[in-house]
Amino acid sequence: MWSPSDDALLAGLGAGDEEAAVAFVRRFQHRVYGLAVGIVGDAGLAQDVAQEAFVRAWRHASTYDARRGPVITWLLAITRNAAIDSVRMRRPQPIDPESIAALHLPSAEPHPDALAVLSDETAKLRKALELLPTEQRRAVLLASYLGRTAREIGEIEGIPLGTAKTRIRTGLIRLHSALVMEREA
Amino acid sequence: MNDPLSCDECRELAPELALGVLDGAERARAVAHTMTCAPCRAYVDQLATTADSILLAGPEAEPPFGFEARTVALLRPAAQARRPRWRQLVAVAAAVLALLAAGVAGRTSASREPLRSANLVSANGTNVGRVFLYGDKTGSWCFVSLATQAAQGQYDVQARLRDGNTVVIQRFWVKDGKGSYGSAMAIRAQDIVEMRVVSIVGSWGFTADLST
Repeated sequence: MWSPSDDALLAGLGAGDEEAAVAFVRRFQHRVYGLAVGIVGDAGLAQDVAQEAFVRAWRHASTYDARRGPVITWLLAITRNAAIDSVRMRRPQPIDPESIAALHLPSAEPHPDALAVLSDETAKLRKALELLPTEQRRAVLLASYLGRTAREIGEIEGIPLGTAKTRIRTGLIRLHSALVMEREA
Repeated sequence: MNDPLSCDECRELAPELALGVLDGAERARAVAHTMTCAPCRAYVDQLATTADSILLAGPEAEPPFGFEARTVALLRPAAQARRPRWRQLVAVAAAVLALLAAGVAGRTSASREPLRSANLVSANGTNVGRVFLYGDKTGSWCFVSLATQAAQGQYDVQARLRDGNTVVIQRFWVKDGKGSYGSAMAIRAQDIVEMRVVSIVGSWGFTADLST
């Protein structure tokens, strides 16, 4: 059965095509809702956040630039930002970043509609994250998923600002190098 | 501390810039460097691609029953009827300008007044622009004007409401440190206690206190 590309669905969503909107939500809802739950830690609030993410994607569909990455990373970034907006006002203490990144959870069977957006890239990414030293991985995940600055990470982890900056920097650069090597292998 | 960054200094900050978590002053200096240094800009872009991809490692979860239908209902084009219409926007802009000329909007007024305004302030307390809100029985509108200091890029205009929720109203471009934006809103201006103009690549931005 023919399945439109992610880019085509987003274009249809932005143009107001209801069939595209249904297909877009169906294809990405498990990832969007899953990320929202992971960050806000509350099913009801996560539902609001996930809906807000889809509304933002619809309103800003025309700003999507395929050269900057696939639709799914753009949509998850929108979801993360909506979740951070929500969680910062309600939860002063962040939840465990490693649980958000699903690194130590039993691997769930992906929903069939989500298969289109699950790829080798995701598996390689999880593997590369697992290979980072724990303290660097935590720093990168706190920044990536929860938008925490180096100063905030220093306070959360009980380490000096300079150490937090080093962990972020070294962790992201190692992760980047690992993914580049993986692609070139 | 406002000297231009060297390439080495910029690359030290590049991972935090790519992750969107660099604080305001450092971020402004790093962005300024990348605007004039193609190799550093390319380096930040490469790291940003990796940083963006980290979210792919996030969990999946089955949404609650009815989530899909409720969400699709929010995406119907009919909802676009609430989006700004050019002639209405011009009319309200004219009304705002008239009130400005009369000196009415120069002060921050109580939330029950149809027109309120407040300065947009950066994290270090500098005034960088002004926000105007207008709300009556016919609808609600907002105008945002950034006079200076904003780094080039896209910004989200956000409204924080009395109930604690934050709503993104629209995204707009800032070039050469300046930008302005006006739009109808699907929310009531009277419910807004704070307006924010936030860079889409981080949590950095400006706020306008409209709580009084």
